[in-house]
Amino acid sequence: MRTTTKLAALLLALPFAGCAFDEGINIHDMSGTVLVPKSVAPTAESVGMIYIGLYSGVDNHLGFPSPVAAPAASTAGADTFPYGGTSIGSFYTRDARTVCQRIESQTVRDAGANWELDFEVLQFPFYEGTNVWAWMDALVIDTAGTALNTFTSCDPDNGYFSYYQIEVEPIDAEAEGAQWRVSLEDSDLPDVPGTNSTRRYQDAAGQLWAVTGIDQVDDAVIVADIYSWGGKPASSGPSQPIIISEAELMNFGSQFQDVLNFPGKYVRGADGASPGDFVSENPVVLDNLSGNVEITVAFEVP
Amino acid sequence: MKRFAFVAICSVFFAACDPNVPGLDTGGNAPLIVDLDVEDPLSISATAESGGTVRGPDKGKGQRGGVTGSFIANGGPVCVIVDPEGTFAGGGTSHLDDGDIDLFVGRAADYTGTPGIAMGEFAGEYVDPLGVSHVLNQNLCTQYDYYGLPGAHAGAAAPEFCEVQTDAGVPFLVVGETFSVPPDDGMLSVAVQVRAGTCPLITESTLDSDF
Repeated sequence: MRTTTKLAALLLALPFAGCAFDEGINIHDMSGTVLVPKSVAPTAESVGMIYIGLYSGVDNHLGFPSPVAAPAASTAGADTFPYGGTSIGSFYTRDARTVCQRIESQTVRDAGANWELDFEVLQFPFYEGTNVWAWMDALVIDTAGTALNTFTSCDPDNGYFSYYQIEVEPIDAEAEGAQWRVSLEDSDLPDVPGTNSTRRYQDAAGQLWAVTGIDQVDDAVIVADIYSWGGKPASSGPSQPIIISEAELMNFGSQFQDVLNFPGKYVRGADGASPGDFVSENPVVLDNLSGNVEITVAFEVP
Repeated sequence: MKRFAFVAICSVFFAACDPNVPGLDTGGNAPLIVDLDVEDPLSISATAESGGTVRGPDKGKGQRGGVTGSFIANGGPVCVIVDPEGTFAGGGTSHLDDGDIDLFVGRAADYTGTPGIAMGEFAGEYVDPLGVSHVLNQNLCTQYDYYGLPGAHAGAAAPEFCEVQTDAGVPFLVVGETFSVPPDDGMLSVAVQVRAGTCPLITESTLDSDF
């Protein structure tokens, strides 16, 4: 009996013994915080898309602090060969009016003089002396809050692919004959491409309605119950109401895949004239991977 | 009876591996690798065409084949075009006459192969400041796919082309690596041209010696 118990204990211990085995693979994770001074981004909304990369070094060959690049002997040259990296945020949007002008999935924390944003870089090889460098793709916004350009690191021809869609804010839904008139906030309802036969309205409950008319003057859409929901369009629910045009398929943008490899292409834009981007002037040099890394993005690229 | 059936099945199985089966694309009567500098040298011209004929590589043995040709750059952009044999160019009626060759261009000094003997790549090594080694892809011929991403190649029978920026006096090498050969005769003819300046609209009719 005692022997059986010992054997069982031994068998139970075996799987856990495997957990302590160090395979010696140079793959690590790290976490950190990006600090964006409020002098650089006055509001949390004005914090741009932030990229963090791990590089062999940082120099001034582009005229501003940027990662060391391989010799540019070919179109494939000038690659910075990052060891790892990530972005804070995504360009996911489903509003055709804001492609490459809106950042989602970005948590900005108020920390006195700075905005703080956390990041994690996973599964990268660590070499002593690695430089952590970050930059912020900023958007130029006028005083009315309108974006004057798009994010240069966003590729409008890629990413989420779907029907033309715009987000709307419904105020009320009133019966209009056998249909419903959905009044919207002053949303400056744009011309929605296609015809009524290809337009749909998805309410806050995710229910799809046929659009039979758009009232540009009073900011309203007239909808018909195509799936016999048996009530009026929902004003509250799990989703943002949208107007859809199935007549036009489009991309909703995503980050260019080589942003970390060729940051010089995007920090000033392809034409070298994208204003307002910021980089970390002083990279953080990693001698080990203990503790949280803090890096400040505040140097405006000339 | 069962033994006879077993032998018959085995024979059919192994017959498929016989390199002498007619139509197998490695069996063409042509060299595996052609050095155009010897057979039909390139010149920088919008009218002259060079060309060669190769047999298909036995990929199961790890063979690689194709054509290579060099030119001395005059500086500025050049347009490099390869056009593999195809049904359209040959006036044929079936796709048994279609072949595929992939285009690469680079500085001759970066080429790891030996013209006429062994195929290679355009490669270099970059050691970063922390001592980590990275392989540099020195292929200067960038072709873009449907999504605008670099590294694409055209399909069977379709021409491939790209613009390459050059420095005057530097030797460059054009490499066409055989991807597939026409199954009708196991041999692929290919036309190659290097012309000064940017690329015009390239069609199947731009080069006409690819058959």
